Amino acid sequence: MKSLIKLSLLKMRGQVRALFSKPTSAVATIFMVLLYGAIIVGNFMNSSSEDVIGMSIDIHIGILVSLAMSALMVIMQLMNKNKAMLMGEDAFYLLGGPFSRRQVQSFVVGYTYVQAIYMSLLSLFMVISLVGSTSMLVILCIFLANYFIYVFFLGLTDYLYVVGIVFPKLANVAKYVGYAILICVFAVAGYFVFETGFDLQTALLKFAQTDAFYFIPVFGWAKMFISGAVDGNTLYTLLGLGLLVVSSIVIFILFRNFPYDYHEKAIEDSFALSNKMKAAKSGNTDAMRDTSKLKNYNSKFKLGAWAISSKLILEMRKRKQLVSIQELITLALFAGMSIILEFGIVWFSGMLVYWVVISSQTANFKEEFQNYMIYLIPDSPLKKMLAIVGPTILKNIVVVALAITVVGVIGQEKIYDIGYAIMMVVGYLFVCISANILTLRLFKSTANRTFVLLMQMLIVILCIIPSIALSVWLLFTLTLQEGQILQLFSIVSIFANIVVAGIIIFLCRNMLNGRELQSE
Amino acid sequence: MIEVKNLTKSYGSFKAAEDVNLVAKDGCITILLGPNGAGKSTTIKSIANLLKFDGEIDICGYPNSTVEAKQAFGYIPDTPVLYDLLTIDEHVDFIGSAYKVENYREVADHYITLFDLEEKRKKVAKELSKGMRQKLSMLLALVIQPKALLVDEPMVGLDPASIEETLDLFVKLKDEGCSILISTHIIDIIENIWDEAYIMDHGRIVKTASRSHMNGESLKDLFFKYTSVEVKNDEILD
Repeated sequence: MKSLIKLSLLKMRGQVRALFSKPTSAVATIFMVLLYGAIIVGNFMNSSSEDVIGMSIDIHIGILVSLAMSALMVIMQLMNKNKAMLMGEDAFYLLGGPFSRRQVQSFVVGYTYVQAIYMSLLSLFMVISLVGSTSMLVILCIFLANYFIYVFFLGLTDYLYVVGIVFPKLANVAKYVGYAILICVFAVAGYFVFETGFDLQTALLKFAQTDAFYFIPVFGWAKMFISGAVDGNTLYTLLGLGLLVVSSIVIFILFRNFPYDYHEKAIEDSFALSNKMKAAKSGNTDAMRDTSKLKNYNSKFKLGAWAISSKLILEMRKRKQLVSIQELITLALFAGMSIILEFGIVWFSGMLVYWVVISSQTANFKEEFQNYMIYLIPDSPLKKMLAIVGPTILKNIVVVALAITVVGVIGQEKIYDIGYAIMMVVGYLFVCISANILTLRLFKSTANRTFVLLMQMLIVILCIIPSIALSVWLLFTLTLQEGQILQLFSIVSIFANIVVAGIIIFLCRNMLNGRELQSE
Repeated sequence: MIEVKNLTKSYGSFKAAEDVNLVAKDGCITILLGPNGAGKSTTIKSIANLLKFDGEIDICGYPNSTVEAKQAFGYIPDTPVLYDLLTIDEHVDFIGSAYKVENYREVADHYITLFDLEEKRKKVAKELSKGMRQKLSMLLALVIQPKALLVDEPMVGLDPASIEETLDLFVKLKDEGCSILISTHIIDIIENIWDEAYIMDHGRIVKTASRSHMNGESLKDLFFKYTSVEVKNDEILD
């Protein structure tokens, strides 16, 4: 067992060494640590002056959001088809090496415990950023609750995975567990919706605050534990924590003592998953995709550079990304909140700007910009550039226009406001797309994703500066009434954003001649 | 024809290719030979206009950065770069349309049969074996009916039968007037098909050879004579 622990420590040291192997990576790592550190320390410094009980409504919703995030992560993990107990190299040395089954399983459990720390820290960060400052006790409880959720579900996922290998008839149990949790959540939520006479706003608050949520296994117990600590209810705190600890111990015992042989399939799955993950990390977004059930579409390709657009649209259809379920859920969530909570079209447009920022970052431009086939196509670089960004821009404009129109019509907004909101989001869409391209042009390699993400955000901000400068200049040049100032800022920023984006795209067109990106 | 004049490619102070001059004539198979790190791939990539370089490169009489030059040559890279979600047929449609080749379907059908890809044409690239991916990469370079063909380490991943078929194909293309430039370090494979050879070492052309002027000397002899590669006796015995 000592050698396994040594292996873990060596791997951890290797990961740290890799993070600091390049100056950009080291700077980005230090920056991120300082950023998260500053947020958390800032929170602690404020916590003494706050009354925890007084802000319990906010924190209840914050807790619910953090639990929802953890639930999403663990349910996705449970239902994921790409499963493996270990990474390829670990599987090779552990399952093929001189270790007993119990030793290997203990190692996997230990690895799960470490993984759970990272994931629960992420959930904790989410709550802190939502509710602002809170007490050390609450922070500790939120961390512990999320930690036990991850320990339980990651352990359960591993256990059900090996059970599925040995008893193929039980291979789908993990999926049914995921469905069962979702049914529990919807049953409790449905009960409140019915009880409140379909008043969704009140139902949401009740769902977040009342005890019925505690009947949802694991997540309910976690909420009982945290809410107990927030509200000063010792019984709930101890009961919630006790249930979480006992369930985690049960899973640990079940998995650690699993007596059957599953090595061959486990090694095979581990290598398959490792290879897919390496490909995904290097930018191949389709690496994790199951292509066995891919639908064939009748495709017609335009001539010259526009064939790239045809290809991209075909790939979007195959990935079901023309409008993906994930995007529909996000938009429905924003629209629902905007309508039910009466946040209005301005708030909804703001959320769409956020959606556009994320959507443009995930747009798969890198693959096109770094493929020799695209460089060699005998057509002008500008046409190739437009052919690459065209489908993403078009898709987003259609989605944004439809979403804002629907929310605007339901909210009985003015046609001018609807049109204005659409134009504003489209303006930001152009800026985000061009910032994405400029980032790729400036930094070429996108190996350090965190660094690239930060640069992208910075470039988006820089791109918005001209619109602000122009607005300020016009403000001092023209004589305006008070109500017209905001309107001026808005309209100028829309057009300035589109113009800045156009200039960036034009200046970056030579990226498609092949020399700009690959040479250095 | 491919003409390279005074090509130099530097990475900082390191010169990956230095003052390279070469001509790959129409109807000839020209070989770029050299040990690992000699500058072969750098030269090929510069010709394909994938790298910035100093010097002058013309393909079929046009500077290699022009649309006319791009229309004229096909490039087979050492590692195939394909779209995971596109089938063989969709790859062909994409390249045929992008290059505006009128009869690309007929040409593609010919090569699909030749490469034994008939049964796989509806398979997406992600599901193809390494050899099949290499064949698809070749198919895409050939479907545009190139007047010049750039090939970087072409036999990686191919089985012996496929290697023979590929070599026969290169000879056929040469007979049709195509100029073929192959970069490789595996001399045995191209021993029977080459017409002209350029041996590279440390970024420079160290020897030029023509099959008609070899005077009984083999290409392998020349390679070891002019490059810094040393073969130890025990390695030969192994």
